[in-house]
Amino acid sequence: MKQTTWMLTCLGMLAFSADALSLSPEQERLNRVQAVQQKYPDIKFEDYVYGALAFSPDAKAQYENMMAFPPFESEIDKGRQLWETPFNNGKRYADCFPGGGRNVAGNYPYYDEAMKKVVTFEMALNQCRANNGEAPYKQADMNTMGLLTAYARTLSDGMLMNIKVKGSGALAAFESGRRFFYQRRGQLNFSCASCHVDHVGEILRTEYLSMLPGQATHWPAFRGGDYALFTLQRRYSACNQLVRAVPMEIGGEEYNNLEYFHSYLSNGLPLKSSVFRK
Amino acid sequence: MGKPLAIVTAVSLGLLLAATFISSARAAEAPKPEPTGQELAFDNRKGNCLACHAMPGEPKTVTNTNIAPPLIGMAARFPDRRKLYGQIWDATRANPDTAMPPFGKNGILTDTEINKVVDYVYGL
Amino acid sequence: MNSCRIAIRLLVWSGLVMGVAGHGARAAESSSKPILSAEATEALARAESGVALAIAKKALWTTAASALAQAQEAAKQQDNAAVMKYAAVATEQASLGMAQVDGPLTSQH
Repeated sequence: MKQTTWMLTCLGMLAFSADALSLSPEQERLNRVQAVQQKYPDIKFEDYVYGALAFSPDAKAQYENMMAFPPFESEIDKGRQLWETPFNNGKRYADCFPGGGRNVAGNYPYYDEAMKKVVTFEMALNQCRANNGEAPYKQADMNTMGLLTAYARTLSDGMLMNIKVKGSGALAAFESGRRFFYQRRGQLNFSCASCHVDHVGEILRTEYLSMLPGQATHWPAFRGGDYALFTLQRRYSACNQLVRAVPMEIGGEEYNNLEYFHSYLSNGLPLKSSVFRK
Repeated sequence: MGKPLAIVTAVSLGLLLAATFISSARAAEAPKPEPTGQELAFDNRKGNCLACHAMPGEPKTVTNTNIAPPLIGMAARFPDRRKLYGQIWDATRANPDTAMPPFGKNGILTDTEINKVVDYVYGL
Repeated sequence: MNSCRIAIRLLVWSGLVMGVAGHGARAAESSSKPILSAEATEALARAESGVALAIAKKALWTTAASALAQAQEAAKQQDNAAVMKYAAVATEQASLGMAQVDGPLTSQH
């Protein structure tokens, strides 16, 4: 059965190889998942959410010890206060989302047909503020939007990523994100995929390179020795700078489309936000 | 409307930071000797070879990378020195999908620097 | 829509650049130093427009941005040789960045 699926995938790849861009989003996702499965048959699909940690039992054990009592818990608490404090009109963020904001983050980003653009969870939070007469947060500001999502996204922990790409507008946004992921950038000439597809699981200096599927499931993350808060798009910005490309705007169309593609490639994997990462 | 402004602001901020960095770098520049081939190969702002290549014959490396072929027996692997130079100058010529940065083409290293790296790597 | 946005960006950018250049010119007037050579002025203008195009194409490298900053700083110091040197780097790095985003995607095997 598994072999049949694999053969069909290969046939599909052949059929599409004339124009790689015409791969359907689901075909793209299956190809990337199956490539990781082939290279690392012992790593379970659901463990892809651990990224680089999935390749090192030692590092994963250390991570799990830390996550039992996260040293950045007080930061998540600050986010909870932001989330729970009512707006001036008495309403709350929870009133803007179905289920009071539980199990919603896995539906973002989605393509909004009326606005003709990708809407991220951060944009939805800002929309909620605007609808209640509050000024929007700057999406690059980790002390407001960053902290708010560090709590709000934990309300969706365990939800499976569930991104949908339907219709020509959605497909165009997905393709734009896809191009960004595979396009070489910066003086150092890397694409995101140069490392996270072509050399997945291999060691750069001393660090394993994480797999593309699962990468979008655990943001924001608290990173490094000082547990600096990084939303997914702040991470994009930092990656771009590392390869010596001037980053795009956090919350801008380019990164929103990239997040759309990136999140779709994590479909079916459980969310767990506000975790530690190196 | 906010977006172009934001981008321009970000870029000009970047320029400002770069300028600050440059002027402070200039002050420290004077007494520093020219880096050796090995220093260029190790420096993560320059060659950074050891980020991707193991160097089994080089006891000073502290990485355990396995991305690219180990740098060993290089003189035997590249009897033609120009070929090794060309590989460092632009590895995408030999392999369009390579992850190796085109150090010469993109101006990451100067010609002199590449030649020093080639000399160093040749001895491995 | 998109070209309109690019045009606005270019406009804002060139405004910024003119601001910087204007600042340099005023500094020159108030000092007795010689003004920037025609050659250096032209090299700087070429670097500035190259960087502006790379921004519009979402293809600017940090190395192009910092070389332009160095060239602009050198212009303020009326250092013709340094302006020429850094402006050339900025122009080249900007055009490499623009060529790069038109290049093939990786990992399509």
